[in-house]
Amino acid sequence: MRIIAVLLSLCFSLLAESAGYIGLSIEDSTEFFLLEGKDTVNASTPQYTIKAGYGDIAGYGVEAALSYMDYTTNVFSKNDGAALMLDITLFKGWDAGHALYPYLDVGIGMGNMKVDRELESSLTFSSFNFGAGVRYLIRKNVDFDLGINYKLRTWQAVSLVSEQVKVKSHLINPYIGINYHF
Amino acid sequence: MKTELKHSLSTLILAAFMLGCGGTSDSDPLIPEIVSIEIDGTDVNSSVHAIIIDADPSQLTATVTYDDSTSANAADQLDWESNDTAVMTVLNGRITPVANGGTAAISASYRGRLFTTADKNVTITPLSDINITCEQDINVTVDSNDTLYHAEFNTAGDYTLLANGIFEDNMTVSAIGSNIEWKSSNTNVATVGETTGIITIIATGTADINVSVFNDINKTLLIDVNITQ
Repeated sequence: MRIIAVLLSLCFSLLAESAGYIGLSIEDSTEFFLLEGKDTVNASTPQYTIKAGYGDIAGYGVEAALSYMDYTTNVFSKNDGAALMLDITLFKGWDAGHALYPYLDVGIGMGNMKVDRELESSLTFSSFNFGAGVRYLIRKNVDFDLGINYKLRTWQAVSLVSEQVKVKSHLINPYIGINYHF
Repeated sequence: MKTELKHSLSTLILAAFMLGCGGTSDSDPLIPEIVSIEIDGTDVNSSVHAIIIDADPSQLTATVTYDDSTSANAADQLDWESNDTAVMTVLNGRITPVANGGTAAISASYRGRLFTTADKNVTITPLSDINITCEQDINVTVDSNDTLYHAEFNTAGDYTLLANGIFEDNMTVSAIGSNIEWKSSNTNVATVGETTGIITIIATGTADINVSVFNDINKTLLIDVNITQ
C-alpha cells in the first residue's frame, strides 16, 4: 500500500509541471575493464548521446538516452567496433534560483558492442548508473546541462572454450549537453 | 534565443569533433583470441583394447591455443563425435569401445564449429579369446579343444565366475567387466548374474553357464552340482 502511494505521488508530481524535452550530450571518459580475477585495461572513448525525456526540471523526470561510443583501445578483440546503448534514467531536480537546476539521477541500461572474435561478433552488456548534475536555463525552453555519472557495466561472458571469461567495467564520466523543452 | 541555441550547438559539435579525432590503437586486447583447437593423439597410439585395460590411454585431450602463446585443455567443453558409433562412442574425450574391433574417426567441435586440424583415427584391438575361472577355490577344467569348461560344486551358495580375455596383440585382461553377458540353462540348479558372473548354486543337478562377450566370443561352463551338506 505504501509503495502504491509513493508511486502515485511520483506520478502526480511528474504530471504537475511536466513537459517533454529532447537533447544531446557528449562526454569523454576512461573506462576501467576488469577481467574476473585477472587483468585490467583502461579504454577511453568519446560518447555521443541523444535523449528524450519527460518531467519537471525542478521535480521528477524520466529520460531515455541512446548513446554511441567507440573505444580508442581494443578490449575484447583486435578489431573492436562501436557500441550502442540505451539507458533509462530517473532524475530528481530542484530549483536553486538564478536559473540553475541541480539534479540527481539513477538508471539502468543495456547495449551491444561489435567485436571481431572467433566465437563472438558482438557482445551485449547491461549497466547501472547514478550521478548528479546541474542544468542552466539559457532561455525559457533551452537548458545547458553539465553533470557527472558513474556507470557499472556487466558484459556478456566471452568464451575461450576452456572457460567463460566474465568482464565488468566501470567509469566516471563528466558530460555536457543541451536540452530543448517543449 | 536562436543565436544562443546555435552557439551552444556549435560548441557541442566542435567538442564532439575534437573528441572524435583519433582512432583505435593496435594494442593487444584484454582477452586473448583462439588460434586453434587440436585433438592430442600422440599418446593414444591410435589403438585401444576392446575391453579397456589400465594401460590404455583411452582419454583423448584437446588443447586450445591462444594468440598470447598460452594454451588450455578443453576436452570437457567440446562436443566429441565418433563417425561410427557402432564401433566406439566418445564422451568428454573418453573412448568407449562398443564392438570387438574396428576403426572410427573422432572429431571435436565447439558450438557447432570444427577447429581441429584433423580427426583422430582410433582403432580397437579385438579380443581373440576368453577363458573361465572361479574366484573361489573351485577347480575349473577345459577340454582339449579349449571350448567346453567344467566345474563341480558340492555346496550351495554364491561363487564368482571370471571371464579373462586375451587380445590379438597378446595382452590380457584378468576379468572382463563390460560388454559381457552370462546365462544359465537351468535356473533350478544355478542362477547367474547377467553381467556380474556371480553364480548361485541352488540344488543338485547340471546346468550350462554360457558367457558371451560382444555377442562375438562365446564359452560354456558345464557345472555338476551334487550338494552333500
